[in-house]
Amino acid sequence: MTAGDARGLYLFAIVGSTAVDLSGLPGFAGGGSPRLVDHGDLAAVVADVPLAALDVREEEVTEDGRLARMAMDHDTVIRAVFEQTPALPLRLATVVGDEDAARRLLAERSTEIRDLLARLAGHEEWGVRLRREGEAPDENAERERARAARPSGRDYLQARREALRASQEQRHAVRQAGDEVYRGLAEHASDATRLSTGGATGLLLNATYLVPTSATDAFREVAEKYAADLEAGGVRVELTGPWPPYSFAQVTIGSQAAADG
Amino acid sequence: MTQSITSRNPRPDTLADVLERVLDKGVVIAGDIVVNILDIELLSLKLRLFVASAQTAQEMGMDWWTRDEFFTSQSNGGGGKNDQVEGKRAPAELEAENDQLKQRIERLERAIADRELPEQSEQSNGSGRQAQQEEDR
Repeated sequence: MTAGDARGLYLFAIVGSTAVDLSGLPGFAGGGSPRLVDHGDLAAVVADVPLAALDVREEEVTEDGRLARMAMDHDTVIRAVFEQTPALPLRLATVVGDEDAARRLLAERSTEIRDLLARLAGHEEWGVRLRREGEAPDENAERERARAARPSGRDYLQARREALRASQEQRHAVRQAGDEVYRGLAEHASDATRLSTGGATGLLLNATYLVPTSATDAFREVAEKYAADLEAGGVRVELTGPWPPYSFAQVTIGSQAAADG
Repeated sequence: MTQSITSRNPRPDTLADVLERVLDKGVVIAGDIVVNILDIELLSLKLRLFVASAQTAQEMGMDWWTRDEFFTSQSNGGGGKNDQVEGKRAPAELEAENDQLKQRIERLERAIADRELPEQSEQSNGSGRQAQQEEDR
């Protein structure tokens, strides 16, 4: 469906301002630089794009592949816009046919867009990770040691039981630390959500917060306090941000479009 | 780099950080205005797995993914898939994680749909359309 030289309009973000400086921002190969399409007081940050440029193949899912570059450019543009005015980040690779379609979107969905902009205005997203440093208990090594010592079956089972209980208790304590930090920081945020830990070992918490800019200092102070408290236990607190509110703009707008015609 | 809390000026610039924020997040526009091009769910899932593996591996000081053809498009057309995986990530483990993530995304999408749009049923239609396009390609 992306055959030939079909072109579209890539949508980065929607803003409640028609005065946004987009100079120097990256566009797409074979496409144009980011610009504004406005309708009343709302505007979409868009760039012309050859649809073929968005046809990412499975084997291009790499660290420096096309999809990764697109994601970085997507973030660069949205962040530059977000630094100037509240912005609704659109999902990666949102494309409309042309300027008329973009204006139709702004016109038909202006109420939803304004509500969302109002909810996110004056907020930034901050990410918090808790990571355990150093060695995780190695159950296999434990088992090997027990086997090497050639204990009686009963001794082995007892040692095994103790090892299991110890590791369960440790897991429990660690999970509690994650939960406590998650809740403690949430008190200084308008919204909070946990992100996937991706199965990474030692990642105790991967959370993200929608923080009012007026509460940023308090939020960071609390995070620093947790960092100091947990350091002795070999747990590191990582903070990323400020981000545009990506994780808190996960909504669908225009859901009635089909019904409305 | 992601920085530890002790530094005063955190700057979220690693690819992993950006991907984590950008993939399958942000406002979705439903309806006929949008041109659907990417099966972004599938691709983002793969990228997420890639990032998760890369992070884990980096912590262990490994760089196996630079040699794995599943993750390096440049090497060739991506024939061998996962059977070359070295290090700690067995294919079965990746598959299990893949399934977990799929379920998780499904749950999240359902939760979001329930919370944000109790009246709509467009979501499922949308993904159905996408699947259709996937087949058409």
